[in-house]
Amino acid sequence: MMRIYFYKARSGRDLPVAQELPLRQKNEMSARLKTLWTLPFALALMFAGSFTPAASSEDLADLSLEQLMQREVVWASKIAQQISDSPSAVAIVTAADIRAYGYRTIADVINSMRGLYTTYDRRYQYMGGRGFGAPEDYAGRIMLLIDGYATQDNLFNQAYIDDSGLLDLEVVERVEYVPGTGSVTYGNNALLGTINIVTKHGRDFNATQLSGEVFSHGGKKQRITFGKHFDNGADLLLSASALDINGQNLYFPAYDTPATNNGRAENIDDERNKRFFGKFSYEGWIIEGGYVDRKKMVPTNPNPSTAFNTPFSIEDRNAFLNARYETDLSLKLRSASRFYYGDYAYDSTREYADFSDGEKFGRRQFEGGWWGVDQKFVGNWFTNHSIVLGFEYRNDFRQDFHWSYLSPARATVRESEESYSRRTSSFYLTDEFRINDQWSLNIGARYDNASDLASNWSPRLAAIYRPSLTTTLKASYSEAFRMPHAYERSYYGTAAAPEFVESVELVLQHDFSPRMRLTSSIYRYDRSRQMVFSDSLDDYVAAGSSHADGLEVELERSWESGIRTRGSLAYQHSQDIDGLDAVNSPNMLGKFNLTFPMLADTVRTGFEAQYIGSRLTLERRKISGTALANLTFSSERKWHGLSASFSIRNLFDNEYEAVSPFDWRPDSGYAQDTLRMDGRTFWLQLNYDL
Amino acid sequence: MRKFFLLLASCLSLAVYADSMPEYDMKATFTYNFAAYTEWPESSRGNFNVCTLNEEDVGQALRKFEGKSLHGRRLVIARLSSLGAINQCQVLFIGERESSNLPRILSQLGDAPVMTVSDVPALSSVCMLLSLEGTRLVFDVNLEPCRQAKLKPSSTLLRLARSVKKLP
Repeated sequence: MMRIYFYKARSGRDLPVAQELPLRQKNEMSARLKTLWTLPFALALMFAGSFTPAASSEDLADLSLEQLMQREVVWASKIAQQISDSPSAVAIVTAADIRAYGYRTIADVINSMRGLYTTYDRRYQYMGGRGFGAPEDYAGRIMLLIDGYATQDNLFNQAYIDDSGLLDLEVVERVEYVPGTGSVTYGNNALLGTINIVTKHGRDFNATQLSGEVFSHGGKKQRITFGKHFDNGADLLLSASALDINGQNLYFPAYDTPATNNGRAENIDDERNKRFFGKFSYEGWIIEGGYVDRKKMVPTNPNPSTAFNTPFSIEDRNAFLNARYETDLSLKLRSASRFYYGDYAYDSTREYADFSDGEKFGRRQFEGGWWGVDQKFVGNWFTNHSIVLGFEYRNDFRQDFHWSYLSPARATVRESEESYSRRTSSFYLTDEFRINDQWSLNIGARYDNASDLASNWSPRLAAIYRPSLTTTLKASYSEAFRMPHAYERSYYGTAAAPEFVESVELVLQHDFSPRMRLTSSIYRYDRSRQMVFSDSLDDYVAAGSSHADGLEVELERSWESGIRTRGSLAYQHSQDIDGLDAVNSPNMLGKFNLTFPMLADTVRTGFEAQYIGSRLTLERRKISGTALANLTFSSERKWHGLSASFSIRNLFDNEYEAVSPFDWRPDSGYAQDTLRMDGRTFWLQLNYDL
Repeated sequence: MRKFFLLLASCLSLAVYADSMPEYDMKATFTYNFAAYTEWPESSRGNFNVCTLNEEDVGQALRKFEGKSLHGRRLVIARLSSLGAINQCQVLFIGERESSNLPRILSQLGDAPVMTVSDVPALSSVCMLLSLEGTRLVFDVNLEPCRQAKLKPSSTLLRLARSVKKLP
């Protein structure tokens, strides 16, 4: 009973923060991985040995114009290049991919990327990959940036990647995933990876676009987008949308008892959201803002003390404003100034199964607010150095929690409140040093000093080697950290402490031709000072450590005719703080994407297949691997302003399960450590440009 | 999996192009030559500034020329991202991202002695326009913007150009 009371009184989002797991023997996979480690090195040597750099040894200035004109051009890669300067194996999804494969959320995009997957518990989508993705993580150890603005809330540090996310994908130009630590650039929370979303401009629409969608489970969505580029160079994009899904009646075997409606959750799966996004740019200014309000009814029973098949709602509201100004102060000094403001609100109501204490309903109203300024300088004073230095100040001025408990007549019986705040000052310095045509170094560090924590340095050291025009090798070592978020400060009290990760990564990129690229990566993450429960202290201590290592290979190719394909395999192995195989961390992930135009280039077909290997549940049960396929047809050209898209997800109607975050057994005695996912679904979108 | 890698590695076509050059090196070298084969009005400045505007790849490739001596002045490469400092340039390479801003760039430059260069076909009102012809890079000279900037392209440049758009 104590434990249940604990959930009822203090839990933030109805997930236990630390899981109690039975012990089991360590596994043998790591030995296999050690042999895998040698592979990229061997590959690198092969590449390095077989190429000689062309044109770099001669002095280009000595070529006469006549000689120059006789030279053939080796075209630069036609495959999308990464924007960020990170020395890791970046994955890129462009607007063309989003359309070709019918992606509707960032989660869909992530699922198509090498080595990544998402897990859905019918509340949120959570991201996993490279050994992270434990069910209690709230997608909280990655950064989600929109045009440089970090979107995570300041209560749970959650990145919203589903319908609770800030953007409609129609306004997204590209999504870049940078695996690995990013604390050297972004400080707090860029522990395991960074998703960079770059939004479109008004000129990409240059019209008013009306859009209507219908999809399975009674889903409807409307959107209006206005985009214009003015003659004086100003550019405006405005977009608003509304989504409404009736949802399904779902069956949960663990609740299949007469007292809990034989496991059927009826009419409690509906979802609604509203979004607004605006972006204005003029000269060096870009001012943008976004708003999303998503309300979802929760058909699962996400808390041991709540009653199954009763209304349980969650509402997440996120808003932001990001204004930046970039200018060249001189020929050698560039300045980027930024002001941002963010606001988050969470509102949830639920019904308790046992209300003998007079408390039948519970409500949680949490609010967060923050603002910050960032001033960055890029100095090219020295020929072979590009120096970035800057400082950031961030004020998390509001981190408020409010719990209230209501009687059956909905009168407040009891309530409690907690408030937190944090001010963080940061300083960062990076030097990109080009030693010669083949070698460059990227050295940097960031210092973060938060008002409630000891200060911290996050360093990164990377060496980049280009033995030829077409081959790049990157080796990096970095450290990152994550401050305890407000909810952890509430939950752990004075025990709350920062968590750290050290990562090493070796990346090989080779362009076989401008239209064919191989990317491979091998990595290891060592996490430390994770929260772990100590029996002797009867409290949590930041003493846990865990690690993950893995290997990823991807091949990408495009043809001039418009065909594009990519395929990847990722092997990963991770151990949790108990030295056991990590939960919800599949050893193998595979992706295959193919898109091509057909019917005289009028229609584009996009096919994708995704494999997620077997993985452990919270009860340490192994569930089998799953292969899923999606198929999308989209119009390749507009016809009198009309365009359309039609998708089938889970094409072969596979029955499959996802690891759930629920580690307790309800009265039936059956486990609920997995959740059955949706079968085949359909989606149709029509757009009309006025 | 090991076999897969070995196979992959052995399949690589190891083309080493003796008489070829990567795209951005080529564009950078052309740009350098445009400056070398053109006469600028007298100036007391010690530096000769070759700038790129939102064109990082060409800007990176140009770094090889930094510090060379051109017209008795020291060559300085600047990779710009805004219009703030463009009037300090002697050569301005305009990237695709700036194509919609060309009218503003030209009006801000006015008759300043700045040679505008681009590889975006739509930007035909620049002084020097690079384009692809087969596997070779060629260029067109537009004399009106050159004259406005008080620049005199050499006869060699005009002879090697694919086309020269004469003064009206």
